[in-house]
Amino acid sequence: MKAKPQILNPPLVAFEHKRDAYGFAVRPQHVQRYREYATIYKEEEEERSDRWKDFLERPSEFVQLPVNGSPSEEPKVASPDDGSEKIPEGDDLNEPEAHEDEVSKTTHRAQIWAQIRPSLRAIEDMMNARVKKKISATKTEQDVEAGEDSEDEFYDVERSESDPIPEVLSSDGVSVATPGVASNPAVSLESSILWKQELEFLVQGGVPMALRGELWQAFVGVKSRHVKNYYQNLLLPDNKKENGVDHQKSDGDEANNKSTLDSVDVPEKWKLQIEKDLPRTFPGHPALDEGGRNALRRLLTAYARHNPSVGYCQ
Amino acid sequence: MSYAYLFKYIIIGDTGVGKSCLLLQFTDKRFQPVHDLTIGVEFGARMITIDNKPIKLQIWDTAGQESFRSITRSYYRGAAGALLVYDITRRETFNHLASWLEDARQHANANMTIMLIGNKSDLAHRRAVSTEEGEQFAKENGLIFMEASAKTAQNVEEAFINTAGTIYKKIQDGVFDVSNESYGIKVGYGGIPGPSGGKDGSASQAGGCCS
Repeated sequence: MKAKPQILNPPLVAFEHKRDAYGFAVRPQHVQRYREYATIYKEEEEERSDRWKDFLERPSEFVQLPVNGSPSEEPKVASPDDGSEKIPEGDDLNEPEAHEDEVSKTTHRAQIWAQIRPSLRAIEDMMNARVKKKISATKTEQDVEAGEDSEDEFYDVERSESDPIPEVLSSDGVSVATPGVASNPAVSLESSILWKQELEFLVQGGVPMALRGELWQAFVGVKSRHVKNYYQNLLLPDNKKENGVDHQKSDGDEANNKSTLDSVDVPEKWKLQIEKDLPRTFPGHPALDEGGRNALRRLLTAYARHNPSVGYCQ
Repeated sequence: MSYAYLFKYIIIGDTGVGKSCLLLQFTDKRFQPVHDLTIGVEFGARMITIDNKPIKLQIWDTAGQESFRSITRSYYRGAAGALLVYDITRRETFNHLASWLEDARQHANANMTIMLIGNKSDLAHRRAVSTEEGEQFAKENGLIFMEASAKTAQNVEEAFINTAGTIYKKIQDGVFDVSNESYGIKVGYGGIPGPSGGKDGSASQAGGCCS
């Protein structure tokens, strides 16, 4: 704030102290404090990384369980490319070049879909199993065909994920009856409880930066939630600007389109606000260059169409 | 730092009218052409002097987007002053003033001082609301009015300080029971005790947020 000692490269110095490790601006009034604690933050991050590394590298009985335990999972887990085969259909298909730009240019680059490392499979499979179970439960209960995308289903799953982990254990298909555990149910069950407890503990301690993208995907159960081309279809009206207005597809499903506004003009109302807000959303964040902003625009637009009752919210 | 009084302010108005920029100009004397979005509420504080008494302004800067309205409403309580801001280059932000005012009347205490600000007066060439219209609206609704520019700092100090002056005068006139913090006024150590004295034990909800 005062005279900077390293006058040689002031912009760089300013940059380093005005942004945190995630690239977010540190408020002027907090810069001093942030600087003081910077080494502590760094040490903590290293400690977190080590703990997670240790956890993920440690061979665990339980880690095998979902694979052997639920036959339905088997084909997925067996093929190592499976995760990457579905997932990359995410955000970047429209303008892949933009993302490559972004990735190469910035140090704090945004993580695009990544393949989930094998050591995270156990988490992923656990969550996928939950999502599937929930979806099928919702479907049979309500007999809703649009159930997969309805808000209710979405939040129900969220809720079930916030249950204390050990309690959910038996609902994950890792019950004593599953073949993989049958040989020695007591030991496996115990180790799986311990495994989940440790995972819970680690999550509460924070997720190391390098693992965030992957862990998010694993915990969300991306694989079982992913609906092929759903995202792309939401964005179709933008690609075919001319006749785009007729393409209200998923909004037109009426599943949760109970807003007072009628479908056709709804996204356009948000469009203006989104355009206004893009430049002032974390201005200067390294991930929000041209390509990053375009990605954010698509994401916000798609979400507004996916969930019109919320639409766009800053 | 000790103060005679602390006044709680709230800044309201449509999204993008420049609420946060006005605050930044007032507290830091600088202008950010691209200011971050305000999510929920932000805080700022500054000491001013009125009638030779140090007065601390504690300013709650709110998000303007419609989705945040229900949250914003909860911040009116216990505010002594409000800056109601519109953008002179965007007509719709002026048209929405009535609905903002209705919120304020409904959720704030009746004695809250409201200052109407037509911001971005530096962009006079793109003006969509005339000064007279602003004045007229203010007059009809009993507000103080000013056009200001967070960019050039024109009238920014004045807006905050005149509001404080009006509040101060209301205190002098005995409009407020200053020991009752729901009016958005707190008596400090160096202050003049109200009828029942300044209570430091009853922390206001804004507590030590920005001291």
